[in-house]
Amino acid sequence: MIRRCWVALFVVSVALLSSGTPAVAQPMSRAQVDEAFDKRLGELWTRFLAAAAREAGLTVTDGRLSGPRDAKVAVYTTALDRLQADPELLRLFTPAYVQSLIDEQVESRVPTSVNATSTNPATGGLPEKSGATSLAALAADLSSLASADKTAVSLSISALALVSAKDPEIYSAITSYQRHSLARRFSGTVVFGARIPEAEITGFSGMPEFDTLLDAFGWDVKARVWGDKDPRSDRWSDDTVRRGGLLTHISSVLLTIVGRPRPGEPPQQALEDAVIVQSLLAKRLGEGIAAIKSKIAKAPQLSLKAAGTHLTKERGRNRYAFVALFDVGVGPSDLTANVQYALTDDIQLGADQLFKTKIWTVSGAVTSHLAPGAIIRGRTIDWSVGGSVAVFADKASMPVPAENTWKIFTSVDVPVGGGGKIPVSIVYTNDPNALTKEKFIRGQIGLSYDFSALKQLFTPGS
Amino acid sequence: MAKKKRSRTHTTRQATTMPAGEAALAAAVPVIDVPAGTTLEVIVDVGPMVIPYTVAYDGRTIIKSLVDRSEPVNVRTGDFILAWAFGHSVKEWSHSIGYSLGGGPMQVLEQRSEANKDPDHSVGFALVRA
Repeated sequence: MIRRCWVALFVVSVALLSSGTPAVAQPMSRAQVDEAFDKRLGELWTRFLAAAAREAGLTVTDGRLSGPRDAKVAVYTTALDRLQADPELLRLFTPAYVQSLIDEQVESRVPTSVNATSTNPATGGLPEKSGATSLAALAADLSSLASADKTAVSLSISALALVSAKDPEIYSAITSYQRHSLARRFSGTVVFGARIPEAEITGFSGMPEFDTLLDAFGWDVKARVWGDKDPRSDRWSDDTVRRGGLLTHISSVLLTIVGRPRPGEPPQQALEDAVIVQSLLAKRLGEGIAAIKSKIAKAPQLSLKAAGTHLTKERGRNRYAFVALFDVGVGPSDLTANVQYALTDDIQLGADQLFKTKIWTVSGAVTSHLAPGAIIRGRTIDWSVGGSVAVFADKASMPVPAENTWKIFTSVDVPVGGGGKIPVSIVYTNDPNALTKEKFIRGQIGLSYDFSALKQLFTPGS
Repeated sequence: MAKKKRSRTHTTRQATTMPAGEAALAAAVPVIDVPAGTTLEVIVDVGPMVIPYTVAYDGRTIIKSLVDRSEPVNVRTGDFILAWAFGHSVKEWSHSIGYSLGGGPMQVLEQRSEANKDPDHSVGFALVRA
């Protein structure tokens, strides 16, 4: 008896070892995932379309829905709702599959843009389409640098471009971004030839010559320490590459299924149904893209910045600033908040001895994006409300009188054709000298506007 | 996989006005006539993007990618749909999709870009007749 038991146990063990060992699942290639996706999508669509048609009292014959146009739209809508809600298709898109899409190499690299808005020959030889713009954007800012000068040249440098330029292989913008996520956190600007009002350097606007323009050289270094609002960041890959890719994938494959003529059916019938589904899919894809953009836009981001301004023709008055910059989306609005500590050394301003100023500045603004597409498709009227307070630290030790200043403002940017906008702003402040750049001043209130963008409306091609 | 350079020609037959109703829209669907023994190749050029575009033919994925691609289509005899979908959320986006018959010049099916203030997404299709 005991021997029989041992024999039986042995046989069972051998059977388990030979057939019961689970096979190690091999990761599927991208082509295999796509093939599985196509097959499963076809099965799910057949099932959901049949169920939705049955509930609506319509018939599906060989995959073709019959019935009045409005009833067909309702059935297709229901079937699409169920298809999008089904988690099975999304599960096919594993992290390895997503990474494979990101890592795919570009087949050609054609330099098309250097993002130099003026004609600077130094940018001509940059080789990389995605990296060139961030490698060294050298531009003569002809609009407003420090609100005063018309000839300053700024050189923006991104650490990402400096390291990714050495890559021997050619990758897409998303790959370059994600491979150098640390370097991507740092950027900087060097400004040559700026002429800056003295008040913006010393912080004093009560002196007789506060608006004297001084020749200066400036620099800044910015580091992003929390969050990332760039859609190329890997923190958004699940939303963009995976879930966004699901939307495009369903759309294209499903259209080919709906538009496939059945035996004996005229192609026109299949195309008419494809047109109906195309419209429904395009609407859903648009909503999906908008949701992805909104999620990224609302994400918080914090950066720290250090900046310096140095006079090039005079000694002293070196200004150093340290700023924390924070952005976050709040509902349909954007909140921006800055906290700055600025230190300027070797100031005289008529005093017997040189002294320093130390100023804390806190500022914030809420921008609402109103009436999307009402004036220009894809653009909004932007309405901002904000304010700032500048407080002198250690005011008692300074040899000249110093007043803390504050201002509140509201502004509206109205979009016009050609990418332009008409800004109108109203400022209320306790510092009348801060209003000298406004177009219209009455007491402590300044009104500013710029209608120059209107000329773009009459520019051919705008 | 390797993409050859091709000169571009005019857009494939498409309605220049927006007709009302599915029948009229269906009549305006581009038709790609593929002669027997001729290869059909789909060619896609894209700018920066983070949402993969997809091209499909007769229920099968032909291309799903974030970068420029060109792929041959295993054409079946009869009328079948070639469909595509693009979605964009990166600045300076652009895309174009076209096809080449027998290695000939590329015929553009759709060309969109942020610079032209086009919508940031599109779902389109053409009828492949072989």
